[in-house]
Amino acid sequence: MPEALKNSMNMNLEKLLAKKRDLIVDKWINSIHESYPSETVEFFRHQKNKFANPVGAEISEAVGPLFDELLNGNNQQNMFSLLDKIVRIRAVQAFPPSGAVAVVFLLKKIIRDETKKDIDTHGFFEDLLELESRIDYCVLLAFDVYMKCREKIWEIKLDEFKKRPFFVEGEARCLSYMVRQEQGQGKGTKDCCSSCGLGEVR
Amino acid sequence: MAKNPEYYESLNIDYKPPRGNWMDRPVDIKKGIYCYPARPVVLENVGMNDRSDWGKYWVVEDEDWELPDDWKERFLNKMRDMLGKYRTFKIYMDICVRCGACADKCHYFLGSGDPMNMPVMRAELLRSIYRGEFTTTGKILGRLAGARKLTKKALKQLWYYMFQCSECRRCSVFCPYGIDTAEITIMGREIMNELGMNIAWIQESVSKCIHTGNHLGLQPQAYKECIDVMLMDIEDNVGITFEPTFNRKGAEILFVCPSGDVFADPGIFTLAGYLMLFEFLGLDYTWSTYASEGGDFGYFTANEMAKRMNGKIYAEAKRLGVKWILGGECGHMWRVLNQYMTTWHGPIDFLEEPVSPITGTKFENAKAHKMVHIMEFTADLIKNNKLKLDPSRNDQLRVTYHDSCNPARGLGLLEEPRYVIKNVCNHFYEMPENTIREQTYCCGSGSGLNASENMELRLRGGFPRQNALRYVADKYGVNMLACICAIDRAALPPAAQYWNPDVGVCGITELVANALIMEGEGPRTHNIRGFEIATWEPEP
Repeated sequence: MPEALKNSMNMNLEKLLAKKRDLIVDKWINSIHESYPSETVEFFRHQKNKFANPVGAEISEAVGPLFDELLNGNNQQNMFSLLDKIVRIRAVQAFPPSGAVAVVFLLKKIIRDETKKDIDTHGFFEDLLELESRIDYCVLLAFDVYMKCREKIWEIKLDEFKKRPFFVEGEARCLSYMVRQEQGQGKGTKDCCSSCGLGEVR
Repeated sequence: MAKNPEYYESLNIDYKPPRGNWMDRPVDIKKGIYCYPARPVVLENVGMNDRSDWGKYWVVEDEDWELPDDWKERFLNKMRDMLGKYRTFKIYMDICVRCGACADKCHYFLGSGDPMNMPVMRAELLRSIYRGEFTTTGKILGRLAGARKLTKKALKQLWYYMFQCSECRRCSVFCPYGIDTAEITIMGREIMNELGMNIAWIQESVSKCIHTGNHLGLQPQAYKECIDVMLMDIEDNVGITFEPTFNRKGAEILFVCPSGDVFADPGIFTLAGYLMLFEFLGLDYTWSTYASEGGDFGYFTANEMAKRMNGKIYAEAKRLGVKWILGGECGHMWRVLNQYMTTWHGPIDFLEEPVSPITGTKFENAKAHKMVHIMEFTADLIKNNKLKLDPSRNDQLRVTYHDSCNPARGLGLLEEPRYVIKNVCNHFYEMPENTIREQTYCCGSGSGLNASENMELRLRGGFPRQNALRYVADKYGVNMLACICAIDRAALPPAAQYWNPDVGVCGITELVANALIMEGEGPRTHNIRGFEIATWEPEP
C-alpha cells in the first residue's frame, strides 16, 4: 500500500493538528499580537529578551503549551494557569472583557482555516466539533481567570482606600481651621486660612 | 459530510485596533488609567491657577472640560515662556531624530502595548504642538513636518499621556542625544497647570504639605504620635526604650525622611529601623515636625512649587542650627536634592560639609547640598565595622533589590544599598541585568501616580518589574523585595499582590534594624513587624 494512502487512512484530526502544531501556534501568537496596535506588534515579534518584552514573552511562552493541553491533556488546572499568563495581562490593558478572553476563540478560526481541506476530504467534522467544544470550555476558563483578576484589582483598590490616613482627612487635618473653630469663627471662609478646603464639596 | 462554506466564514472575531496616523486616532480615555482632577480649592489655597475665574471642577470623561475662552492663549503663552526660560526644553523639542532607541524602554509601553506610551510618542504629543505653533517649517508644512495645531483634542491627549509617565527616566538612559523625556513630562505638566489641570493625588498632597509640612497632612502632634507608636513596637519586639528628640535646636544632624515612612505600612518599619540605628549609634540628631517631608510633590506640578516645598528643609536646618542633614529612604526626594536643591537655594554656607561623627568619613559628594543618603551613611558604618550585626535574623528572607529609579538614575546610588543588604542578610539574589541598576524598571506608580483610581495603569506599568521579580521568586525562592523609596513601598505591595502574591516589600533600613544587635535588648524572637522570626512568611 502506498505510504501516502496508509497515512491518510490512519489520519485523524488530532494527528493532523499535531503535525501542523508549530504553524498553528505561530499563527495563534500572531493573531494575539494583532489585537495590539501595529507599532506594538512589530516590537512584540522582534524583541526576544523576556525581560525587555515581558508581554510578548508571556504570550509566546503560554500559547504553545496551551495548544498542547487543548489537544492532548485537557487538564483544567494546567489550562487555568496557562490562561492566567495571558488573561492576567489583558485584564489590566485596554481591552473590553470580551477582548480579554477572545484570545482563545482566535484559535478556532486558525484551526478551521488550516484544516479546511482535510475536514472536507476525510470527514473530520466530528473530531472538529469535539475539539471546538474543548476550546469553548477553555473560553469559560478564561472568563474565570478574567473575573478573578478583575476582582483582585478591586480588592487591591479597596485595600488601598481602607489604608488611607482617614484621621488626617477632613476637619482634623487643618490646624488653623481647628483654632478658628475653637474661637467660634467661620468654617471654610476666607477668615480661615482656607488651606483645607473645608466647606467645599469634595 | 455536507460541505458548508458559510461555516468557515462564521467566526470573524476582530479586535484589531484602528491603524493609521496617530494624529487621526481618537483620544480614548479609559477608566482605571487616569487620575481624578484636582479640586479648584487645593490649587487656590497654594496660589496656583485654580480655574475659579472661569470654570468648575471638571470631569475627565466629560466631552466638555470647562476650559476658559482664552485657554489656547494661556497654554501657548506659558509654553513660550518656558521655551525661553529653560534651554533644555527648547533643545529637547528640537533635536529628537525619532531613532526609536527609547521607544521600547518605558514600563507603561511594555505593560500596556499602547504605542502612545513610547517615550518618543509621548514627547511627540508636545513636540508636534511646538512645531505647529512655534516653528516656521511646522507652520508651513504642517503634518509633513510632524506638526499640528493646539486643539482641544490635542490637549486632552496631552493631559491623558503626561499623567501616564512616571518621570522615571529609564528612556533617557538609552537616548543617544541624552534627551531627558521625564523633563518633557515635567514641562508638559507645568504648562497644563496653567489651565488648572493637575490631578487630585498630587495637588492634595502639595496643599497639605504647604500647610502642615508633609504630604499626608500630619500635624506636629500626629507626626510625633506616629513615631511614638513605633517606639512602643520597638519596646515590644526588641525590648529597649528610648526617646528621640523633635525640633531640637543645636543638634548636630537634622534627619528628614518621606512622610510615607511615618504613616504607611510597610514604610513604618523602615522608620523603626531609622530610630533603632540612630539609637544604637547614640547619634546627636533631631526629627523635625516642620521639615517633616522629604518628598516633593511640588516637583510634579511646577518648578516654583517644587522650590517652595523643598525650601523648608534648609529653612529648618538653619533655624535649628544643625551642621548637616541626613536623608532617609526616599525616591524623587533624592533627585530633587541632588539635582535642583543647590540651584534653587544655594550656596548653602550655613551648613558644614557632612562628616560622619561615628567614622570620621567626609561625604565629599554631598559638599554642595550638605545632605547624606542613609544608605551611604550606613554602608560607611558597616565598612568601618561600627555596627554589631547578626544577619541570621534575616535568614527566613530571600531578598532581591529593586533599584528605586531616582536614587539609581538621579543620584547614582547603585552599590551602597547592595553592600548594606549583603551585610545584613545571608540570602541575596539579583534580578536580571537589564532590569536593575541604571536600567531599573519603575514600580509603575512614580511621580504622583500612586492614586487608587488609576490602578490598571499602575498594575500594567508595574508588570516589567514584577516580571523580573517573578523570575527570581521562581528560580531562587525570593520572598522579599527590598527598595529605598517610600512610593515604592506604597506601590510595590499592590503590584506584588496582583503579579507575585508570595513576595513582601521592605525598606533596607528595616533589614538593618532586624540584624542590629542593640545594647540591652531582650530575646529577639520577633522581627520589628512583630512576627515570629523563625516562622514568618512575608506577603504583600
